[in-house]
Amino acid sequence: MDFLVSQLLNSLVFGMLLFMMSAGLSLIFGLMNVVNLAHGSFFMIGSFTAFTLAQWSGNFWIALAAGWVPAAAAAVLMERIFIRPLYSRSHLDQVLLTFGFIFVFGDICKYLWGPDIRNIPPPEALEGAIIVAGAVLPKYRLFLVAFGVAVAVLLWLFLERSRIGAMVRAGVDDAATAAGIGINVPFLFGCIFALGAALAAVGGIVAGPVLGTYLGMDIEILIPAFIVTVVGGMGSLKGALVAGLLVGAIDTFGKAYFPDYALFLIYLLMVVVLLKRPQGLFGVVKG
Amino acid sequence: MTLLRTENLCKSFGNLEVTHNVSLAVAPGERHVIIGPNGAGKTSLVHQLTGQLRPSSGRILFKDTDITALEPERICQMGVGRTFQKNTLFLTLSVAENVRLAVQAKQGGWYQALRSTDSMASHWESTYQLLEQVQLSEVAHHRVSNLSYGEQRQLEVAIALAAEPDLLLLDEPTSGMSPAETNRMIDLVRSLSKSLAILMIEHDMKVVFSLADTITVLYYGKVLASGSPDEIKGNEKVREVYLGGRH
Amino acid sequence: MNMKTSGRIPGFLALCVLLVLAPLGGDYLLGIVSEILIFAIFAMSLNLIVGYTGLLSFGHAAFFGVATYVVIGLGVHLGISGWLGAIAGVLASTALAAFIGMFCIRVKGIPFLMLTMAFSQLLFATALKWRSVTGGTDGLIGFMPPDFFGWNMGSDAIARYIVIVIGFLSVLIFLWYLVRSPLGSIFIGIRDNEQRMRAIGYPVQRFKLIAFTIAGCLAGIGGSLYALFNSYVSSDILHWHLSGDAMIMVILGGSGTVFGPAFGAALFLLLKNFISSYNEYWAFWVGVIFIFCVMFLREGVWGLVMKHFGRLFSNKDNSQSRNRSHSESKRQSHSHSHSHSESEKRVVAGAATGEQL
Repeated sequence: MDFLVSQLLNSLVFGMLLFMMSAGLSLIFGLMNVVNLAHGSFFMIGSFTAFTLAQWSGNFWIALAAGWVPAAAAAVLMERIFIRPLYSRSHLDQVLLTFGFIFVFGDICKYLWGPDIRNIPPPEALEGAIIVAGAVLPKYRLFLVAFGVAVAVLLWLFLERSRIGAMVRAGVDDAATAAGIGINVPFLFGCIFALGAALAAVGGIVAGPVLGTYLGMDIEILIPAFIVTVVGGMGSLKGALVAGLLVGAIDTFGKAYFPDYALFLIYLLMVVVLLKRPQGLFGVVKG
Repeated sequence: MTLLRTENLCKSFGNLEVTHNVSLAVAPGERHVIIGPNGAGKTSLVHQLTGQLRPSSGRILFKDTDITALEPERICQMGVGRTFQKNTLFLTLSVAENVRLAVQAKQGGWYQALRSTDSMASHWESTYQLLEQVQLSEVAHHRVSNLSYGEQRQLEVAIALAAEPDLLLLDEPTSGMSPAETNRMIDLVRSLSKSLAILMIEHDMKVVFSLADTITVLYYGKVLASGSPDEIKGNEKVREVYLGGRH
Repeated sequence: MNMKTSGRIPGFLALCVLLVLAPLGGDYLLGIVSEILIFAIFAMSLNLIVGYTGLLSFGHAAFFGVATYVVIGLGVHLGISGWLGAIAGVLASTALAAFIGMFCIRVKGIPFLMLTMAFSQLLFATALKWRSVTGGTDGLIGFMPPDFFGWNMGSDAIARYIVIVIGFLSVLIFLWYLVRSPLGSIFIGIRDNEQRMRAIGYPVQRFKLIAFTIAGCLAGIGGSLYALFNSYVSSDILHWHLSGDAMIMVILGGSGTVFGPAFGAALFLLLKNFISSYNEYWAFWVGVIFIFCVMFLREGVWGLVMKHFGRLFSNKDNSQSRNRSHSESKRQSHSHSHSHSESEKRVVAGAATGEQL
């Protein structure tokens, strides 16, 4: 029973991380029709930046508050300078472009932080664990789940209640029409790309104390994030959350009970969804 | 026998009904023109006839065979050639290769992997004949993207003809053309074989009345009237809705 | 064969000369060249679907890796000769490509990209976990390469090299003919305008599958050769890293020609080796060049070379044909169609596919 509970927590933790990654990917694709293969890089950049900030300040919260900034800034530059000129080209050219950035960002991180694994220490307040139903539940992981929920709520409020959010929803629905009614689409694209990157970076920051911070974490999170985005549906926040939790559960419980098949199962899930329902559980069918 | 017949064809996108109970017929060799204001569902109709769009209900029969659910390539193989409202050409290829690809679709040799297309003599012979027919021989070796808009529209027709169809579907063949180009297109359509049935969507009334044997008027997805040019000219409803006002 | 190909002969001969001279550089250089040729095959095979049919796949490593596994696996587990194993490997890759292709072609664009990646990762996951058969990350050791006319490929670098060169040239020549053939023209048509192809009567799905399968088969040739060259395989070979690398080679070299990706493979591997000897940041530079190519040099480095120096290799270049044939066509339009000369038609065909090499 206690094993079950702690695995449940782990699956929620992983699910929340996947949600944060996938939410950004989904928004970017829903609005800009761009698949950002370098999304994992933002995850990694956020984690490394937070590590440095945590070291300087000795404070986790400062790292969390500011650690996402370089990733968002990199995203803004990337969108403005590299992706924007390619709007008139095929979407696949844009995908290729983002693919190249995986290499660039990866080595920049290697240059700045070296090849060793880093560790962001969790804040003192969240060290240790509480006992629930005989299970040892690390406080930090509980925080992570709560944090993920908070992010989900904030995102939802942003999209549903704010002006920019309304513009994003309009753009996701039909970018051409949105431009037609006066929405500054390029500016919006830049905002959303930065927002997506910030989400990924924040994910990387909070993931740090749990997963560690290391080169290669960009690639490792990327495929599961894509699986979640595909299963949940490109462009759907709800899909990102539901699919994130689903994949998190399959992965965690799979690794616990069927270690040899877990990996296989989630790829199989992706294949089945792509074939049976390419738009995912909650995705929009684009023309 | 009728070459093409639709029976109560209907198509809706959610609440939007683009085709409502359209029943029309085209006889072999007939020049049948479909007119109607913008949004009347003309192009949607053509898409359904050629398999690009699946009707919500109703039937389409070509040569007495039900083609309603067939794929576009099957319908083409049965003897239907079409042009698109927006030029749908192979932009990176030459004019001649555009036509040759269509000729190859008809004549075969698809699975030859080690022979050069240069050596497919019969393909090239037909290609040059077709280019001659649409008066594009001069620009045979030019890249399609370098052609003028009018020349591209002519190429669309050549490609459609390559399939040696029994029914030719022309979707606004003269749209965006200058008066001189329009006249050339009229001459071209007139010069086509009498055994070839032509179903055409047009806006330009001059073209319509100089070519049509039969005119069908579409209005908000419904057939408003269908008959000879004189009948249509004299039809009160049509006058009201379409011919009376400027278009 | 005809006037157009005669222009290509000097280029091809130059390539052959280089290939013949390579062994003079010693075993180490030969090893590098061998590896380049193998990946050139891999990249060229990917380009058949990317550059010539317009399908972007990130799962091509599957067909390369499976062939390698079949050769090494049959050799290590069942003692089957490398030659038989290689044939089995190519067959396996071909069958796998046909199978996976059937599913993948049902979707287009981004879903296709993701699906190819997903299938490839499925295989990777299998290889990773099925340790008894694949050895997992440790891989399979103990493969005995076969003999090639008396020379053992395990000990003799030149024997390996010759086999690989034969494989490379075969694939290059085959693709060269394929893209100029009716079948190739159909792939190109699909890339250019799928809707049009269907409207003129082509069963597009069938041909996408054919292209995908041929590409898988050729990748399998590369994979089998890699097995004979390396005598070792591990699950790394099925990771999508490899698929990504192949894509880089295609873009660097240029997706518009048959030889481009081969050039890209050389460029990629040489850059990697060269930069690695100075610092560890070769990925950064490859990434930068790649981004540059996507943005400004879509025809790739080899495409650029062909554009500027291609005329050196041919007296009747495709870019010139347009001018010359224009005046010829003026004359021709006054004459009967039957009098078209053979050369006239060939020039047209050259401009038609835009293919240079």
